[in-house]
Amino acid sequence: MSSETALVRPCTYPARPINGGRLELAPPKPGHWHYEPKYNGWRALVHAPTGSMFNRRGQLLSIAGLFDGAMNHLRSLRLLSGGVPVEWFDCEALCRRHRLGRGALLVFDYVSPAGEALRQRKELLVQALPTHDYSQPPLPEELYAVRPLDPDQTDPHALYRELRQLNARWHCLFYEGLVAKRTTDPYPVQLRSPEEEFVGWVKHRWAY
Amino acid sequence: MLSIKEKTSRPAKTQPDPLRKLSFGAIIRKANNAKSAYPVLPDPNGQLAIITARIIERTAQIEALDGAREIDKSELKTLATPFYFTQANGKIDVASSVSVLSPAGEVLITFPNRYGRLESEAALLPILGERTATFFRQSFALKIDGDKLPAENTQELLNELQQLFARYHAAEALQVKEGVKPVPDFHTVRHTSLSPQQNLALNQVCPIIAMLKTKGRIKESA
Repeated sequence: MSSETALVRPCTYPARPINGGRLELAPPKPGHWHYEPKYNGWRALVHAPTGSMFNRRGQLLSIAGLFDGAMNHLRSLRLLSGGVPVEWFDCEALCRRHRLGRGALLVFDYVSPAGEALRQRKELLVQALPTHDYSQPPLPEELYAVRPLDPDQTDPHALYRELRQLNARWHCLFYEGLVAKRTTDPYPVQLRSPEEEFVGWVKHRWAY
Repeated sequence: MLSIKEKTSRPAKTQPDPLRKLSFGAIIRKANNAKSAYPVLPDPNGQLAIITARIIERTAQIEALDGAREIDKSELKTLATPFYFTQANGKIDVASSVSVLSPAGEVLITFPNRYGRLESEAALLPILGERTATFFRQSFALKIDGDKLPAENTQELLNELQQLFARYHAAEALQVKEGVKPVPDFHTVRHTSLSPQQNLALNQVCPIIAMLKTKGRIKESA
């Protein structure tokens, strides 16, 4: 660990979704929501300038060394939020839980200095990074953005079923379900508790 | 590439300086985490399986409904909070709740005098400026399993405590949870001293706790 890394403290706990149960049982949600696959990996809040990775409890991730390839790419990324460089990225780090895409980082959000809504954050991310095609396993040690799926264009229930079929085809629990995210919310920055849940994100898993 | 196994592997058995462990004598040890194999309740006519399946399915339904209710509650709180600050502005005696009516009954959104701790005052300064100290104070708690510290000797005790830990090269073992929290009468004076706009801005960094009550307020069905 470099001395630079040791000095960095997380600016927030990563947003923690509430449990929405199985999607087929969930009533419709008020407002506008996007859906994205829920990957089975390690939650990582990444500080790009130093390359430090923190888990969902705000502790340094011991497996950070496995992501050097993807991390180098992320460190070279220049994203501006309201003219200010983005430093913190919310990612899923793939390793150990299954054999697919080991060492890959899937960036699904960032902590925006300007406080823009999820819709704008996602637009910026998918412009800056190659997006993960959920029908294919990610390549090892690659860096991807997680593309949101608009329910007006893609039926979340169909996607939910399709991801489950992909798991069966790949013989592993690569996806855990879907996460619904309200498109109008800023990233919920908070250092009160790692257990605090954010109602703007809802996970719909198949099993527990 | 690093190997995870390496990180978790045990030290070799021939380690010259074995781990010195404390003896806990007759204290009951926590059982190993291995999944137990329980005797299965006989179910000759399949009735138990039906009930079990029903419990599992209903648990899943409750979980989905719980999630949906949380979203609705959050939506209602978000919509009610600006009204709460506006109607309370300038008042000393502020109603603790806001009522929302529907054909099915009433929901109360209660705003208790309870606030979470902030990591620092940084987010407050742009909103309150020099008045930050009027509404917020430093709050800290040391993780010590013992009697409460006497307030009049706190600093002296802290200094000595730090020196003590440093003397034993254990300064890193001492942890402090530090933060900023509202002064005791903040919940009341915020309505007379601050504008609704300031209160809404503060609400972004120090959210007011709002609770919904429906018990005894739902209309009986005909």
